[in-house]
Amino acid sequence: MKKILLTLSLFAFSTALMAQDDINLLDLVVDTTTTTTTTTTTTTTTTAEPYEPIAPADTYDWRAHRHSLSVSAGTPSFVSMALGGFSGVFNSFEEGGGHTVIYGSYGLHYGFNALKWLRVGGTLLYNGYKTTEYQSNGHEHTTHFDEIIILGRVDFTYLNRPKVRLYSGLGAGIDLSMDRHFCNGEIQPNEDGETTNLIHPFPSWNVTVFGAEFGGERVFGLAELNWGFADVLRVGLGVRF
Amino acid sequence: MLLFAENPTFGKYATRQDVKYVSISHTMLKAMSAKKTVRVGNMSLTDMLEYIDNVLIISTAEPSGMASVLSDLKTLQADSDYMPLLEKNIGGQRDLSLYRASDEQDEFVLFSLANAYTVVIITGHFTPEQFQSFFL
Repeated sequence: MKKILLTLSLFAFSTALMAQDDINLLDLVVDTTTTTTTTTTTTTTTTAEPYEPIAPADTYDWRAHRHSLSVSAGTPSFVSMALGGFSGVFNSFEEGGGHTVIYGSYGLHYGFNALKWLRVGGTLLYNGYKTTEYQSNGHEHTTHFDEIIILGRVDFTYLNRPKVRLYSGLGAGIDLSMDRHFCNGEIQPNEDGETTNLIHPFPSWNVTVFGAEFGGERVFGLAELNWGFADVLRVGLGVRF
Repeated sequence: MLLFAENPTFGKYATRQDVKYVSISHTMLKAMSAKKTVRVGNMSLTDMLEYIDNVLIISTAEPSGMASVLSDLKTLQADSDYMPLLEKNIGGQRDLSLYRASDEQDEFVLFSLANAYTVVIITGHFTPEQFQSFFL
């Protein structure tokens, strides 16, 4: 009987160790069992004091805050500008001049750390700009480009520490873009002859070449370099919970 | 190889009821490190395993066990073979580390004294400087 109990104990010990990402040998002296002592008159339940950790740095556990929510601002994406009228942004406005106002890209992002190195989530982005061109005949042509991008994303974290996380990722989803042209304030039909229903859904994708989150375990800053439909350069703030 | 059950200072804890005693051999450490990072608190041992023969961990929250550990600490501090490496007291959490060089086996001893007393004794062949790289 003793042999069976010893074997079971060793099996439980080994299983517990193998279930962890790393093995802290100090855990071997933590008494997680509850001992119940019964006397004729009273029942007392006591749990042993856990060991004191050698340093507070050891308390980091990425599983404590698996969800993250962040907001960001960034430059427009290269691909989106190309689809919405790349030439409009970089127009030289030869006739009567003009100007372009780039609104930038703003995003809301959610992530769930399924594993220490794997995060899945979603991104909602707005991106837009406005181009005004003054023609020699006195007409003012304005182009408004707005788009909403919804991406599902997977990030691969190759460094996961309390104060910094480094990752790269992939995303795919849908791009809802709206390109509106105005002449002297009046909306003009688009290439299909329409002045309404101007939203065009389009498959979208993105590669996060490099991303970094830094700061605390709960509140963090982020910076990303993207290639695809998302902002090329992005900075933001987020919380983990 | 020197077994800790034979160690005059810490071998006595192998059979005592008022302390928890865990002795891990080099072979077991190697097996643990095959797919996992092995550490003691915030000390990573994975990259140093080839130099480590044994890790012994003693922990107690019992008054008799704590008194005995404290007595061991005084004994080692009085022993000129043991070189003090670090001593700190932060909010009642006392950490003391000692190092003993020997032709047979080097020894790194870490006392962590607070509500519970924990002693980590690492034996093998290493220098105090090598322990710098242990800390994560």
